[in-house]
Amino acid sequence: MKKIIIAALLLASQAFCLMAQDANYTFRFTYDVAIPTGKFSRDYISKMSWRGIGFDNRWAIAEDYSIGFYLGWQVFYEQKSAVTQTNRAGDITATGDQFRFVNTWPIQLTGHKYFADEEAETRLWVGLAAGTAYSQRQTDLGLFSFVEKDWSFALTPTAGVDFKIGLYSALTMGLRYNWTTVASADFDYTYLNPFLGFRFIPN
Amino acid sequence: MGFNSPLYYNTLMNRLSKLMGALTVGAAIFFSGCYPLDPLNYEDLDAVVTVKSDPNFDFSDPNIKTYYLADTIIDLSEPGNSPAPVVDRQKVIQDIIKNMDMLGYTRLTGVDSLVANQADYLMLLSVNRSNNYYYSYWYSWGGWYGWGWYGYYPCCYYPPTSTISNVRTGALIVQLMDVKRLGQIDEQHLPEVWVGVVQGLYEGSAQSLNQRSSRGIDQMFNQSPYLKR
Repeated sequence: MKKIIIAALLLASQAFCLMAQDANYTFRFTYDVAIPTGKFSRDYISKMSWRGIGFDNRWAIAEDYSIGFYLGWQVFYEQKSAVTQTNRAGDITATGDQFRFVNTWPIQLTGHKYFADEEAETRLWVGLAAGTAYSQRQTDLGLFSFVEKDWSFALTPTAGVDFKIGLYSALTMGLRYNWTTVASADFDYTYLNPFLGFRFIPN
Repeated sequence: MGFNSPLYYNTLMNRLSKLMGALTVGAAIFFSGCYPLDPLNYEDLDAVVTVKSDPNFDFSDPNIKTYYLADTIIDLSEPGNSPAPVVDRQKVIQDIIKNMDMLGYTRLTGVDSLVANQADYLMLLSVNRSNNYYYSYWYSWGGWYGWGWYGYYPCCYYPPTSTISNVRTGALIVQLMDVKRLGQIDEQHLPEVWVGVVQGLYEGSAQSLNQRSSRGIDQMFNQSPYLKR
């Protein structure tokens, strides 16, 4: 798994060098925070995550539309004190502080619609991303550690706004709603994802 | 060179492309995940686990009323290679008896094995203290030499830094055996019906360890309501 991810990253970095020459291409680096919702918040981690980054690549296909791909990384953590849990069979019960970690990496294709010209000082946009998310869920209890790894379907409506700060750059901010669900359906990694960052237009 | 000039941006993009390469390597390293932690106390890593060892055993049987507990705790620790015993063993036994009393059991006492055979449960207590040594080393990075340069600088050799850590752990194990089936035991199949384990770091003062041990024993029985008479 790690080898595939490393190979994909190396490929992406080389592709990035080529993409930087494309006039229709823009990219965004964002700092992402996240607020868990739904089952994720109710059953596992409710604490806000302050650790996240996003890399959003877009190609204009018409004046007001673009397609692209999004890569992200969000880290969640919460310590739950004195939790008592019994397994489904009802024969094992464990009590202790639980240290819960989730690392999730969304990998999605995106489409965006813009409500102003590229040159506008303020440019509103909305988008939809669909793809997958690879997530590692780790629960530490005492000296034991339990790890689950999931590939999940991820659908993410997004809205944002760009504020032009230079000829080729803009401040970008907005909100994503990451809806992800795992095959077993007894868990999900759904969260609200406010972000703030920079948009660059390679020249 | 102005902030908005094409030349500035060509340079910036060139540097960003190089930075992406470095970030890719960095991301590959960190893709194994980030696991932040708040500061911890020893007791934060205490855990209490209870198991119904025999799924067919009927804990609600009203005929189960008595138990036999010897005034001995079996020490499973490796001799000469374990942290020194600190926990008050008599206190452990008293805590067990207190909890069994509260659950409604009667303790049969005496040193005669006949007494043990008359009880419904035979209770065994054991402890295990361990030294766990971990060896690790790492090489220092060459340092950061400003924008436009990344990677390992070949001029200098930084020797590896190594550490040896000892994580001392301790466990208290409480087992309930079905006395009626003691005659059927062999080395592989003890008639164990329930086991409780308090486990954690064997660190801190004797007073702290005794308190954590007592708390763990209480929790062990609190989370096993099916044992109540």
